[in-house]
Amino acid sequence: MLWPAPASFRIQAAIIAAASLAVVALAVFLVRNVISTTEGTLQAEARQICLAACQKLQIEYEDRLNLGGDAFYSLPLDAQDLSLKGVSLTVLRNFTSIEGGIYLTSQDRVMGYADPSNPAAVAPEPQSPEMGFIRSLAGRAIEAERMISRTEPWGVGAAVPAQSGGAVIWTLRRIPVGRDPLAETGRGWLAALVLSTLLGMIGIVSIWYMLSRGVADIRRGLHRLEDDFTYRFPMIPGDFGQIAMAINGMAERRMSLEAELRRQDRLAALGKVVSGVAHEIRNPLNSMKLTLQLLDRRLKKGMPVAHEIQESLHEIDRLDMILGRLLAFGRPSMMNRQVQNLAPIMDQAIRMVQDAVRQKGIRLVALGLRDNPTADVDGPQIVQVLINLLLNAIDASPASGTVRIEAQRRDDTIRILISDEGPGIPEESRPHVFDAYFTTKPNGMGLGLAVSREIVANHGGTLDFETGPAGTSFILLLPIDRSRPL
Amino acid sequence: MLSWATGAPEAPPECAFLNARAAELLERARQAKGNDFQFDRLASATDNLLRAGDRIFSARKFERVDENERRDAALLLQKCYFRVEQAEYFAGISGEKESKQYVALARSLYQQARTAYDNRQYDRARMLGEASSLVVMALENIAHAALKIPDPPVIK
Repeated sequence: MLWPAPASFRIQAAIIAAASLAVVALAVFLVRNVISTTEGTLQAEARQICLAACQKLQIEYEDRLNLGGDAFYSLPLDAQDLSLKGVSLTVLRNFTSIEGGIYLTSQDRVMGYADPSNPAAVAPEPQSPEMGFIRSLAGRAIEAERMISRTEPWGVGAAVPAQSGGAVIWTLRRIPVGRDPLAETGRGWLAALVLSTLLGMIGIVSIWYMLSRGVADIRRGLHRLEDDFTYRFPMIPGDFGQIAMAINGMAERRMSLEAELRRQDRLAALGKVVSGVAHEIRNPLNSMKLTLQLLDRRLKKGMPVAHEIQESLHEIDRLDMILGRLLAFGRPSMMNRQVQNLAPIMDQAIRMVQDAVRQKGIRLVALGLRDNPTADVDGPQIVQVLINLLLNAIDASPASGTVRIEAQRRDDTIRILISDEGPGIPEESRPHVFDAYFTTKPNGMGLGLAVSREIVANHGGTLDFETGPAGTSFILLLPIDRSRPL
Repeated sequence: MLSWATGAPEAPPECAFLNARAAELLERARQAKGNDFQFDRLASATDNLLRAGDRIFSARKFERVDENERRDAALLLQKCYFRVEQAEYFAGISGEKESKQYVALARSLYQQARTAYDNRQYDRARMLGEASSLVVMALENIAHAALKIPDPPVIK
């Protein structure tokens, strides 16, 4: 893979920074190349102009010497210089930025020096670089040219020998690099490039810093979260803020899950406690029952206490039933499953609720029993489930209503449907129908459906319901084969 | 004595200026007897002006057209133009009060020469051009005279 893994963003930033520096280096090279080319062009042009000026000076000097006849050479050097300067000025005025004159080799002296672009200029001093340049020009071949120096201001010159001999006519153009518009443009581009690269590198460092800081914030927050799960990340701008919010969401969900688990643990613990309590109080209740039965037999002979005793016995029976349910909920169930016909089981459950059916004055309809549906079940536990469901249906049914129990085989499943014509389960109660200790009945324990669902789940089946204004239907699905639970 | 310098009534108007300047320069040369170089330069300038006047006076006589003189006249006018271009420089360092008039006269003479050339009066053009160059030469000599150049040592 050419590009490093996303985690190594520091390496990526370093690569980008190195690439930026490479771009700067390349730009410097290119700009230097452009400047060098420009310098070369300027030098070539200057050489051409200097040579042309030299040749023109050569002609005009000769004319001037001939004009004066033999009198010119008899003049003092200062007068000669003045006359030649007039010639130089007039000639060099026609060439841009050219200075020049005539160099007397025998006297190492410049005559007729003129610089039309700078009228105040004087002839080069004997020790000046220009004078060295002129001497060098004079010592070379007939037509010579060279640069004064590479330092600013630098110049290009040319020289030709005077026809009269003993002198060299020279010209010079100074070309300050800083005044070269092309070079200035090049430097401008270079400066802009360097500036933009610096800005880019600052951007990279900024991104690097923000990434480092974001990762450090997330890491620090996770450490705090390990110690204190109620800690939540503060608002962080940018992408790291989304990560922090996602972590906050995960922490919330985990806390909800833990709360649910704790609630279930509490329920399990409560079940154990209830089991213990029920076990402890059941024996005394049995003793009380026996005693009251004995008392009842004795009082039958004439004492009018029978009614109260019956009431007491009835209450004790109810207590016993409650304790039975508590025990059933708290005790791990011991299954005794075998493949058997469900019709007798359903028939037994129907017989057990006949009293309630008669008291309520409703009709109980059983369907599908003749098909002899079979399943691998614990018979008594399924009877308990069916009784719970039927009693609930009977309670919910209106007077003269109908409760239906229907068994069907569907592929590898036995489906038992128990429905009533009641008002349906209120919407707010529906999520809690199978919760333990949840009930809407004044005398209910809220364990019937919870226990029933647990029994069905232990059989690998499901228990669910459908409800509406026309009634409620509980649907019990049981697998026929225990090796293939639903 | 030159005929135009005597103040002959047919002398051109430029000659009066040249005559006056020549007389003045001659007087200055006479006063500079102690400085050989200055004397020599002022005397030369006087000679230049007188010769220039002579060329102007003579130019009036040449009105014929001679194609054979064309090339020589053209070359002379080129050199004349170059000399006139130097006039201002020499006038600037000559210190003469009438320096601007010298320059104006040199230019005027060149213009007249150029007009004569355009009229194919090549002899006339050559004469006027020479007069123009002589005026510039006079300025150059006056400028030389303004230089402070000591006399050469006397050999005993």
